[in-house]
Amino acid sequence: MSVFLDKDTTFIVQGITGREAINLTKECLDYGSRVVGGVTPGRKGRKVHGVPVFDTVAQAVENHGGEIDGSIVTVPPGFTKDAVIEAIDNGIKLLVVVTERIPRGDVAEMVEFAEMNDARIIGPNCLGLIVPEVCKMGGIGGPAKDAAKSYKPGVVGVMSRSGGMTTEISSSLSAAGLGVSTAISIGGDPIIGSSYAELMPYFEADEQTKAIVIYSEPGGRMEAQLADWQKEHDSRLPIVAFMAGKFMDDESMKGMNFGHAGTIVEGKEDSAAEKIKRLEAAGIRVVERIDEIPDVVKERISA
Amino acid sequence: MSAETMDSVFIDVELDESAASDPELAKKLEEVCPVGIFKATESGTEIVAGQLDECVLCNLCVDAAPEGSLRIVKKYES
Repeated sequence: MSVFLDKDTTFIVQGITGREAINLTKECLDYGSRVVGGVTPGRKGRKVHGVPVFDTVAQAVENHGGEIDGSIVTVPPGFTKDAVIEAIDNGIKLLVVVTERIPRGDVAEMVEFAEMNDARIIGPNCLGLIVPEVCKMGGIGGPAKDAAKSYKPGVVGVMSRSGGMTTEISSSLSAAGLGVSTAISIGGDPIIGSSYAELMPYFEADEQTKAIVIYSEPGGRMEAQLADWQKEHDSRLPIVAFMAGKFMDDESMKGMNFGHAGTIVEGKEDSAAEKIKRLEAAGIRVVERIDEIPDVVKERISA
Repeated sequence: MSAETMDSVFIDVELDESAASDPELAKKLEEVCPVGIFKATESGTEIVAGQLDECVLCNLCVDAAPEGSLRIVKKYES
């Protein structure tokens, strides 16, 4: 089993003729993912690495001859909301939104639209998700041969606000023999489609997953939500968190932006120290170094 | 037009008059909002217009205020 993806998962790439989209399409195809079409208005009839391009999602669905499971959305920020709504209107239930700098109101609107239509958005500002040796949806892990090195099949679910750190953590788990069940780059923006807490039930239902690792940063409320979720549900899955950016709690660093838009620290609840306190109070083990993660995961799984 | 006077495009906040004049609630709202939309003053809560578009829809303010006294008005279609 796995979360969201399997070997039969089909998806399209909206904005497929853009530079980044062309690259990630090749990466996904090389990994064995089923990219069944691409959409760029006005470019119907072209092909990108053999993938047919259409003017609309409806045309892509018609050409496929049945429902398409997902879409990677890589269109410019001003068009992203419409692209997401178009995909959902055409029956697509899993949206990986790569685009960053989307207006906040547009993000809120498309997340609510997805909820109303039983669809799920991963991102915005994310690298997608991967089930090792099964399917890769997005730029996560980079080229297929690199992704194959970093992501070995295994028992740990990984969720991260940083795309790069998703791979870094997964690589350490793979090297330690634990491997990864599903890894999800959830996105670094202030409002995203799927938080840690919202994704936990999917990992909980996945028999392959025996533990969870999250990569966390200062800013935002997602860790508090995860702590609340864990307290309320007493998950069978031990959770290990790596908290980056502790240096930002230092008085001299006040006001500094860690990197992602969602990491701007405004309230007390946002600080690394406060997040660590909340996570630990919920029984979530917080580690200080990435190389500690595999041993702590092994310890928690066997406990 | 400065950020302070510019109309928000994302959300507005409506706060009932009785709640807005409660200095204790004002402190609480200033404390919980992660993006600085509320400012506690001697007379109660001041809404910082320039911060409205920074809202992350966390609802902490709605939870902190007496039930029904604070409303987030979404300016986008839903």
